[in-house]
Amino acid sequence: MKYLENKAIGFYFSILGAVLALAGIIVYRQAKNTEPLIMTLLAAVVLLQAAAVVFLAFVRGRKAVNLVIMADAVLVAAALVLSFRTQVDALGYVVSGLYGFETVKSYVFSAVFMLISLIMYWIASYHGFEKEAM
Amino acid sequence: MKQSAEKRWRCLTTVIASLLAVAVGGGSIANTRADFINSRLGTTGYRMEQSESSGDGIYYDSEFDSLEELVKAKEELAAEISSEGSVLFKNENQALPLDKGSEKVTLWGLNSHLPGLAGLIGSSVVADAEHGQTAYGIEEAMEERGFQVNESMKAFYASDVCAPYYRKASFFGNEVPGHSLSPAFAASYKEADSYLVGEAPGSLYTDDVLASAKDTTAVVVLSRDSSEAADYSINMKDPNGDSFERPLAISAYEREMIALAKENSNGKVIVLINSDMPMEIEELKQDQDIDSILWTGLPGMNGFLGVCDVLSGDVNPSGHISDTYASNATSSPSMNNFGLYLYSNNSTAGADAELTETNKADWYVVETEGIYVGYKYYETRYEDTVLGQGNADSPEGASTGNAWSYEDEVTYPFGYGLSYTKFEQKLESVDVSIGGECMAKVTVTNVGDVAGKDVAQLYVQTPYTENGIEKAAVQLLDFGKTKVLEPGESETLEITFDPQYLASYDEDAVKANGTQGAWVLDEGEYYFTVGNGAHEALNNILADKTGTTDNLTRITTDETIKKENVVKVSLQEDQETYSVNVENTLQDADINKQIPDAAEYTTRTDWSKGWKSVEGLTPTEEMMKGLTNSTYELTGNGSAGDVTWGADNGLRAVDFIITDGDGNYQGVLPLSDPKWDELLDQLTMEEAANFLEKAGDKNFEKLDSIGLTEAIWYDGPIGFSYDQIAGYKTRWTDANKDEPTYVPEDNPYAQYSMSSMPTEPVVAAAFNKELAEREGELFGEDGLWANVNSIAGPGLNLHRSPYCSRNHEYYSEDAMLTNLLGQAVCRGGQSKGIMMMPKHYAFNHQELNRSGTSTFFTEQAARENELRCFQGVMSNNYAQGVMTGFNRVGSVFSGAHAGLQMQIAREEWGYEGYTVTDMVNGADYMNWRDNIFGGGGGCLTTSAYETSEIGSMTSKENLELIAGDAVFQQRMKDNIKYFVYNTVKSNTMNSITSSTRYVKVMTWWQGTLLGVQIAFGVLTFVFAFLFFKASVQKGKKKEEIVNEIS
Repeated sequence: MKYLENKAIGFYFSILGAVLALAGIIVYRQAKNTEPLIMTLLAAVVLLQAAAVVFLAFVRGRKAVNLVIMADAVLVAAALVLSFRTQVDALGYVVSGLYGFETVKSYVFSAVFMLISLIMYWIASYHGFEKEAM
Repeated sequence: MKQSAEKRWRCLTTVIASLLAVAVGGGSIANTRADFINSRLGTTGYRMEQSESSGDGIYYDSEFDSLEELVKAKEELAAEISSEGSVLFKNENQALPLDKGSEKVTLWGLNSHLPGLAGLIGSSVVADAEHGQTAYGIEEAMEERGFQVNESMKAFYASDVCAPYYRKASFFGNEVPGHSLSPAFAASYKEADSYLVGEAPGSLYTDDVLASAKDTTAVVVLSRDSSEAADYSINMKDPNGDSFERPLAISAYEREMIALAKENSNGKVIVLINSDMPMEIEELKQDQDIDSILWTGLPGMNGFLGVCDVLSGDVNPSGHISDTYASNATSSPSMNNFGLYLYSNNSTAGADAELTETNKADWYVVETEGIYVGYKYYETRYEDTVLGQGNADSPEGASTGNAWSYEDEVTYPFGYGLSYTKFEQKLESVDVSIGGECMAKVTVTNVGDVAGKDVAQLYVQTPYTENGIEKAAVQLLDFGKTKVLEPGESETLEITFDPQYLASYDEDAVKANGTQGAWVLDEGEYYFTVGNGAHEALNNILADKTGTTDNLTRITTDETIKKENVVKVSLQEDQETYSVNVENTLQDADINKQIPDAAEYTTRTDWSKGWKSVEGLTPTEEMMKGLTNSTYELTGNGSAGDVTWGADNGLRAVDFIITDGDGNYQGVLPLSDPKWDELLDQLTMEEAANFLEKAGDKNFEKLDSIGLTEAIWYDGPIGFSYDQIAGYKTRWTDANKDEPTYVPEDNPYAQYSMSSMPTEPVVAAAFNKELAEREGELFGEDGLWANVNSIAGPGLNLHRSPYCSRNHEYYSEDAMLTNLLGQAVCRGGQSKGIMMMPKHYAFNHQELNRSGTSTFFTEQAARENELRCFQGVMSNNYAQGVMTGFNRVGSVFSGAHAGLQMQIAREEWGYEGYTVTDMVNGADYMNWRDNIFGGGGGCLTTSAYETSEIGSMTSKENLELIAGDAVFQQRMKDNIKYFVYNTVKSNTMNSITSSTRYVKVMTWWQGTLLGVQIAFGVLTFVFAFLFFKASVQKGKKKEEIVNEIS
């Protein structure tokens, strides 16, 4: 538990953000979407987060590690907007009534996960990974 | 404070950098769809500059001086089509016409309040009444035409008491009044089980309401729905308390309502059949208390005005029904194999599943009826009962369970319709010239006492030999319509017809060149005749053949049998004249050629056969190739470099227009001119790939390297549909404001819907080529005034089954009626510069699981029925494009079936139009590779392939594969050449001259997006700097504290 003693609330939000990004990947795959770029971006978010968590077990007080939060936020945002690119047709057909919502439901869920993940990282970016000494 | 500043700047940097990523990504997406966005916003990404000009560049000009004139002309034409397309089935005691000056009417039936005008969803939907435009139901039309209508009954139907019984479909949250089918675009593993007739129980009518109807004429409205993406099913039940034996039969509540109408009227009862589905109305025909039955079909926005003109006698009915009205619609042999049939290895088959959901291949349908669709079944079996051959009177297929008899099965035959007057027709002569043109002369005399038009329907019976080629006992060959004939007046119609349609397709024939499959004229007597429908025509022939009328069945009281109206022509055997370039090419779609004895086809040799459903098929290895979308591979066919791209030939599309000295349009260079290839050589491969894989949504991409602007298309066939609210203004931009048909925003008709014509069965029932051609012309006028270049219509699929709820987008169960009307509409449209793009080529015969369904049939049936529907427009090149079907042909996607797309369309018919898929609703089975290899052309999507296994055609990997396959590249160019050729022939080129230059400009929305990106970029930089600065300062401060402490 010593590991968690100096962790700021941003640490937990960032983990939540990574979990949501991972959920985004899984649901995105369930929607039979295989766009490699989106998968890569979201996987990078999870890997960076994991690396930061491990790094923080060995090194304390390095503020530079907070850059991971900033990078993850940008990566999630990029994944979110680029995933939309492949769904323009389908979403348009749903709006015009040609498709049922079922067709895009999984994608919408994955997008919602990504969006909430992004918000988590925004919150995390304010607090940082570790509490700072006064 | 310092600590808080660092956090603040870090958070702000993160948020703004994220938003920068969104803005850049979003901008990129928007720019790849710039044409689409521009078309929606009315903006343009280019500016046209004219330096000098040899004319105004207006190649197609309007016949109208204002949009108002066009709108009025369309309203009048729609009413005229409906008046001529209304079919009078029954008229006892001269109950019709009504005297609207003295006769008060009561509209009966809840569906008189919410009648059907067109389809529920898809491409034949009329707009709601708005922007000053009226969608006329029967109530509104009667008011407009000055009928005295019982207002109490109208108020009752409009009240909350009746509201729970209304037809109100729910389509993705939107309530759609007047409809009750349930469309589905996703895969379905069960047939629809619910249909709301929309009638109220008799107990709901109060004494006051019933009393209000006394002493009035009852006009009863019965209605059935139509829709894309839905079919009727015998499993359907009414969820609202009503009941019926079958969904097209009269329901219990409808019977209660009719009984009340009969009891509470002046004794006169008129029934309107407001349905494009052939309802089962034998009981109405037999009911002595029902005086008249008038079929209205689904008449579109203005059609009920025409129906009212028929009711009042202002127009004498002259329509003839374009489908057989059977007493039980399920007695048609096609109904034995219509609906849901799953391969044994479908994706839901658990351990047996070999097909995947992505394959979209779980379903099939085998069209075991062969050529015997609609009247070709009923009338042919009837002849065989008369002649005592082929087990025709066996109980198999009889709706009664007893020996089959025609009068038990048919209520009103194909082509039947009455008038308020009487006509006599005499077939004067038939001149047949094989290889040339043929003509029949028919004299029509009005022997009644009211003026009216009449239709002369020319039928033929070709020689049939038992165990020989299957032959229908009678088939429509052509038709003509008279002018309005005054009582006693005569007119001789000269009906020219194409003798190639006398031939039957023999799959076993071997021609002189050794190839198999031919159009064959058998040696023997050809019987030509006329009649009020197929049944009367056949009776004429049978009277001649048997020498008596004793054994013949008359199913309507007015029917006359005249063997004098038969002209016999002897022909020699001929299997070469109409078989140039012809050979079997659809054998893979005959399931018995894939799996021996899998299906039993309907045959005249033995009518007791052909009634089995084909269930549980297991696809062969060969079939699995098509079902798993592995028909073609990009395997380096031909040598890279064989195909030229990116040449600098200095040509522009406009150079191919031929004008006279004054700049007047004279046509374009013929497609055979090698200059077209030089033009196409200027395309880059990337440009071509982008064009082909993004042939939608609603626009064909522009081709900069040949100076071709984007072409805008809309769905049909009742007008520019799916975007019903778009109106005339939407597609115009300031760049076009100098065009004579430009519509500014403040034009009072700017937002009028153009989706307003009657549905195709109504157009068909008019049996009037001139009206159909005029409809096409006004589609063309709409194109000029709405800046639209192409319409996906008409629908030319055959009414294979009466339960296909999309039959309202197609004309008829008869191939020749479809063929001839399709030609007329397309000819009219083309004359005004709009590219007519019929659909769905071919075999899109059911809506349930249409995406990917394997459709099996015999090649003879395919060529004589479904393909004959398309043959006229494609072989004469009145169609400038076709849309392929969602279905598979055999096990191969229709667009990828080379036999259909290249052998038949190009080699046999000489089709020069372009081809595009239907909406890509399954990117793997409708993949661009198979589609283009197979001759299917453009793909109607903007991004569907990006999430498919094959990926985008313009991805780096795929472009590399394409670059190594010369055969594929040539197919790409061929397909685009057809498109470019036709686009240059169309109104797309209006205002473009040889001096026109396009200058790219940034639109306001692109400027805004760029501004947002720059702003976020700058803010990210600033915040990052401040964050960095705050971090450094904090670090220093920390260091100072540490130093102080130490």
